[in-house]
Amino acid sequence: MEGRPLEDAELIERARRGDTGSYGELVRRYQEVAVRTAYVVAGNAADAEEAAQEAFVKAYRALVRFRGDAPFRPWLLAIVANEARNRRRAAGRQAALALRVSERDRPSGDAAPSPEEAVLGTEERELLLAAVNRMGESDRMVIAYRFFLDLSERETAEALGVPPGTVKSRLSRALRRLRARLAADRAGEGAGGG
Amino acid sequence: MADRLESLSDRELEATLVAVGRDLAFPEIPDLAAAVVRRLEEEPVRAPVLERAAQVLGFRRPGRRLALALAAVLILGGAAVAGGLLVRGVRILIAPETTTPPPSPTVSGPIGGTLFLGDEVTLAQARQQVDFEVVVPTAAGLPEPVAYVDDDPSGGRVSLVYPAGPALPRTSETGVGMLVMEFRARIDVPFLEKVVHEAERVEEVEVGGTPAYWIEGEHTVFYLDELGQPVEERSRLAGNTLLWQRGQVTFRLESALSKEEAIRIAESMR
Repeated sequence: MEGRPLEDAELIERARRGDTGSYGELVRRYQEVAVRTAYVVAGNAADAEEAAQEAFVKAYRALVRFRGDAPFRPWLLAIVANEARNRRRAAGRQAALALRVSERDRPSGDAAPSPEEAVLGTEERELLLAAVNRMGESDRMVIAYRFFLDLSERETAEALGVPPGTVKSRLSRALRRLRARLAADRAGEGAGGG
Repeated sequence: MADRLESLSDRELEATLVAVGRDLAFPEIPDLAAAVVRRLEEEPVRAPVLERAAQVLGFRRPGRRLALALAAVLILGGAAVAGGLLVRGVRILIAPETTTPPPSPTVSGPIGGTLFLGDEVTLAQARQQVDFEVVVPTAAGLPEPVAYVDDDPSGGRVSLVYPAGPALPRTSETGVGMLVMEFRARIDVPFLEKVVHEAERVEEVEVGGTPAYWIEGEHTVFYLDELGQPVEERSRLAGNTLLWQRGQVTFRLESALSKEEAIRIAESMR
C-alpha cells in the first residue's frame, strides 16, 4: 500500500470491483464505531460483535446501491443499527448499557477528576445512564449518536434515516424526556426509599 | 443525588452525557476485517430476501433444497402481484415451513408496551413526528388506543394499540384487542413482505374501493429498508391481518375480528 492512506471513496470503488482486501481496510477503519453502535442498540457485547460483522457483510453486498458522494460511516451505521435491532428483538429484551467496572468501583474523591466529574460523581452518572436505558429507542439513539459516539448532526440524521433539519429538535425532545424521567425517578426514590 | 442531576443546565447535562459515554462498558474491539473478508470470499451472493427468509424459517445456511423451495415461493408471490392486485409496497410470499414466534416478554407497563412498537406518545405527538397524515378509526364503540411512534421505517411509523373489550375480542397478546399500524411505503419499492404459512389463507378484498389483503393466522412481516435489506417483524398478535393503502400510506390492522368487522373499522379511518 502507498504511503498515504486511501480515501474512503477510493477503497469503496475498489471494493465494488471485487477487491475484498480494500473492503477489509474499510472494515478496520470503522469496526470500532460499528461495534459501539451495535452495543448501544443491542446492549450486550456478543450481539454487538455479531451484528457488526453481519452488517459489514451486508454493506459490501449493498455497495452497488451506495451513492458514491455520500459519507460511508453513517450509511454503514444505519445497517449496523438495523442488524443489532433485529438481534435484540429476536431475544425479546431491552438494551441495558452499563458503565465500566473500573469506573464504577473508583472511590469518589479520586485524584484529578475531569471537568465533568467535578460537576457530577460516578453514582449520579449511574443514575443518568439508568434513565437513558429506560428511554424509547429513538430517544436513546439520538442521544447515543450525538453524545456517546460523537457523530455530527448531519451524520446522526443519515444514520437515523431522518431529514438533517430534524436532529436538533429530536435531540432537545429527547433531553426534555430524559429530564422528566429523572424527576420521576427522584419522586419514586423519595416514596420507595430506594 | 438525583436532585443535582435535575438542576443541571442543558450544557452541563450534555457534558455529563459525554462523560457517561466515555465510561460506557463498550466491548473490546475485535478485528473483524479477516472474518468479514473470509465470508465475502466463501459465501456466494444470495438474494437478500432469500437469505433472510431462510433465517426466519430456521435455516441459518440455506441449502439448495430450501433455496429451490423459496424460489418457488418468490414466483408465487410474483403471480399474486401479476394477478392484478397490488397494495403499494406489499408482496406476499407463501412459505413452506412454520416458525415458532419468540415468546413475548412479560413486563409491566402500558398496553402494547412489549410489542416493540417504539416510543409511547400522545396522538398529537405522533402526528408531529411522522411525515404523513395520521388517521384513526372512527367506528363506534372502540376504546381509546395507546399510541406508539417509531423512526423506523423512514418517514416514521405510528402504531395504535386498542385494549380488548366488548367491541374487540382478545388476541394472543395479553389485554390487546387490536393493533393498527400506519407508515409510508415508497413508490416502486416492494416495501413490506409477508411470509405466510401454507396452512393460512390469503384473500383479496377491498377497503373503501381499493385492493387489500386479508390474511388469517400467524405470519412474519419483512420491511424492506432504504438499502433493500429486509427487516424482520415478528408476528405480534397472532391474529388476522388486513393490509391496505391510502395514498402513499400503507395500513395494517391486526385483531381477532372477523373479515367484515375489520374492513368496517378500516373504512372508518379518517
